[in-house]
Amino acid sequence: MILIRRVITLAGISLLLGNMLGCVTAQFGTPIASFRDSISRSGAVVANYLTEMNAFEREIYIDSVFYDPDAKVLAVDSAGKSTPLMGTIFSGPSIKARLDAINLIGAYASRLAELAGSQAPQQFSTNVNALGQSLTNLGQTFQTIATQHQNNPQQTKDSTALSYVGPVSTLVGTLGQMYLTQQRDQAVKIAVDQGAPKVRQILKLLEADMSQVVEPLELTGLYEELSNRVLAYNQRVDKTHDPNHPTPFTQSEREAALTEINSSLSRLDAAAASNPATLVQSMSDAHEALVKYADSSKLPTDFTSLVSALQAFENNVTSVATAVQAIVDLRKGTIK
Amino acid sequence: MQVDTQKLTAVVTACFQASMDGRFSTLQQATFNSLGRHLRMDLLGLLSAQFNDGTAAVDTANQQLAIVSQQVVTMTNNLAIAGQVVQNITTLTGVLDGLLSIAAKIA
Repeated sequence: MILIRRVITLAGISLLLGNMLGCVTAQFGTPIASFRDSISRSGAVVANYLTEMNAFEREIYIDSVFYDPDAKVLAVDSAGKSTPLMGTIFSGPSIKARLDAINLIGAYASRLAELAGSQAPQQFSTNVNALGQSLTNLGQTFQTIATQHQNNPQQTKDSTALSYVGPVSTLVGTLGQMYLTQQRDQAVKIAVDQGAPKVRQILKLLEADMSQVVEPLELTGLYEELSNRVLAYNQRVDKTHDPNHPTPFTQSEREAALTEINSSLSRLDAAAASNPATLVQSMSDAHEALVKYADSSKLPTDFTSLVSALQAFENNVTSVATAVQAIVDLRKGTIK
Repeated sequence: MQVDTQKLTAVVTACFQASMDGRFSTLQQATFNSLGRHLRMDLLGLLSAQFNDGTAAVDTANQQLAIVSQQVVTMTNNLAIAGQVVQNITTLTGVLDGLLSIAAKIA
C-alpha cells in the first residue's frame, strides 16, 4: 500500500514536472539586469546634458564676447532680452522635473531587475502554501518512514524508503524553483506591461527635449564657437581687412589660436558622434524589446531579439557617454 | 503654434559655415558670423516659445524662414546671391525679434 501511494505520488510529481518543463522558461534575469544598467548609464548621460545646458550657453556667450572686441558683457541686452550670462535655458525646477522622470525610469528598471533576479529560497518559504505543504514535506515523510522501524521494531521495515529521500527532496526543491520562477516571470511580465505606457510617455518627452532643444543649441553653439575663432584668426592675418588693427601673430600666439580652433573642431566632432536624441531612442527601442519579449512565447528567437536590442542599447550608451566625456574634457582643456 | 526651429537651426548653421568660407571676403564672413550669432540668440528664445493659434507674425516668420533656408543652400553653389541672402536674413532677424517681443508679452 505504501509502495502504491509512493508510486502515485511520484507519478504526480513527474507529471507536474513534465508540464512545467513543457513550458518555455523565460530568461528575464540577465537581460533585465542589462536593461537596468544601460538605463542607469544613459540616464546619467541625459541628466548631464540637461544640467550642463545653462553652463554651456554661458560659456558660448563669454566666448563670443571674448572674440568680439566691441562687445559688452550684459545680463540684459539693449532690447531688454536676457542674455545667457544669467539667463537660463532650463530653470532649476524644469531640470529637476526631467531628472526625476529619468530617475523614475531608473527605479522602474531596478525594481524589475530585483524582481527578475530575486533568489528562490526566500520566496520559497513565503510561497510555501502556494506550492503545497504536503509536497514540500514529502522528503521529510520519506525520512520518517525510513526511521520508523528503528524507533518501533514492530513496524514493517521499508528498506528502500531512505533511498528516496535524496532524489525526492531534490525534485521537490527543483519543482519549487520552477514554480517560483514561473510565478516570478509572470510578475515581471505584468510589471513590464503595466509600466510600459508611462515609460513610453516619459521617453517621448525626453526625446523631444533632446532633439528639439538640446541638440539645436549644442550644434549651433559649437558652430558659433568655431566660427568666432576662425574669423578672429582670419581677420588677424588678413592685412586688407583692417589696416590699423592687424597685429602680426607671434609664433606662440598663432600656435595658441590654431590649437583653440582645433579644440573647437574636436568638440564639434564629438557632439556629432553623441546624438542624445538617438540615445533616448535606443532607450525606447530596448524598452519595446523588453515589452515584446515579456508578451512573447519566450522562444529562443524571441530571446535572441531581446539580447540583440539590449546589446545595441549598451553599445549606444557607451558611444555617447564616451563622446560626452570628450566634449567635457575638451572644454576643460584636459585633452587637446 | 511655433516657429520652425528646425529650419532656423539650419540657417544659423549655414551662416556660421559661410563665415568660414574662403570664397567670401573677410567682411562678408564677419557679416555672416554676426547674423549667425543674432539668429542663434533668437533661436534660444524661440525654442520654448508658444504662440496663440493664428498669430500672423508666426506665419510670416515661417514663410521668411522657408525662403531663407532654401537660399542658403543655393548660395553655396551661387555666390552671386550672397548679397540678397544677407538682406533676407537681416529681414528675418527683424521678424524674429518682433516675435520674441510677442512671446515675452504672452509669458
